[in-house]
Amino acid sequence: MAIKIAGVRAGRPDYAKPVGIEVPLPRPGIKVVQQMEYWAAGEIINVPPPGYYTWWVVEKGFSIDQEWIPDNQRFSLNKVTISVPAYITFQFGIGVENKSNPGSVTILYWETIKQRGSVDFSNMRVFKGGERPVYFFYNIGDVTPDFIDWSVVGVVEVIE
Amino acid sequence: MIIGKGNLSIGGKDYEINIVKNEIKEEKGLVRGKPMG
Repeated sequence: MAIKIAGVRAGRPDYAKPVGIEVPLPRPGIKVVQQMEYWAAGEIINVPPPGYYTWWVVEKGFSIDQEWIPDNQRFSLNKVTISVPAYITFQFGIGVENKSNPGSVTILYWETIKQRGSVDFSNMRVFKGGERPVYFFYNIGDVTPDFIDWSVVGVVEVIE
Repeated sequence: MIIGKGNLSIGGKDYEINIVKNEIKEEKGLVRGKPMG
C-alpha cells in the first residue's frame, strides 16, 4: 500500500532525479609523511609441546628499541608466513596488545595450519600507536617440532 | 625470555633481533578469537 505524505506525491521516491546537493566527502585527518618497509624473519627454538601454546613479540616488543608502536606512527601488517619441520597441525593467530593493558592479548585472527601456511593480513587492520602485534602458536599436533620458522612483512607509516 | 633469533629491517635498516615471549602455557580445548568491539 502506497504511503501518502502531505505535499508529496504517493509512491516511491524518484531516485533518478538528481538531488543537487554537494556534500564534501569526509576525510580522516591523517596525513602520512613517511613510509618505511618493515619485515622480520626468525626461528623460534623453544616450541610448545602438544596441547601447549605460546605467543611472542620482536625484541623490545615492536622493534629493536620500541616496546610499542610510537604514537606518531601506525603499522600495517600485510603477511605472515609460518612453518614447522614436522607434519603437524597447529593453530596460528595474530593478536594485538595495548600499552594500557599489557599482558592481555586480543586475538584478531587465527587459523589452523598443517606444517606451513601464510596469513594474508593486508587491509584487515592497522595497528595504532600504543599497540603492538602479537603472534600466537598453539600446538594441536602430536609431536614437538624442533623449531618454528616465522616471517612477517608490513609497512610503518609516520603520520601527522 | 629469549626463545629465538631473527632479523628485522625497518626502513632499510637491518638488525639482528631476539624473539621473546611469555611462558609456554597449557591450553585445554580450542582457542577462540575474541571479536573486536
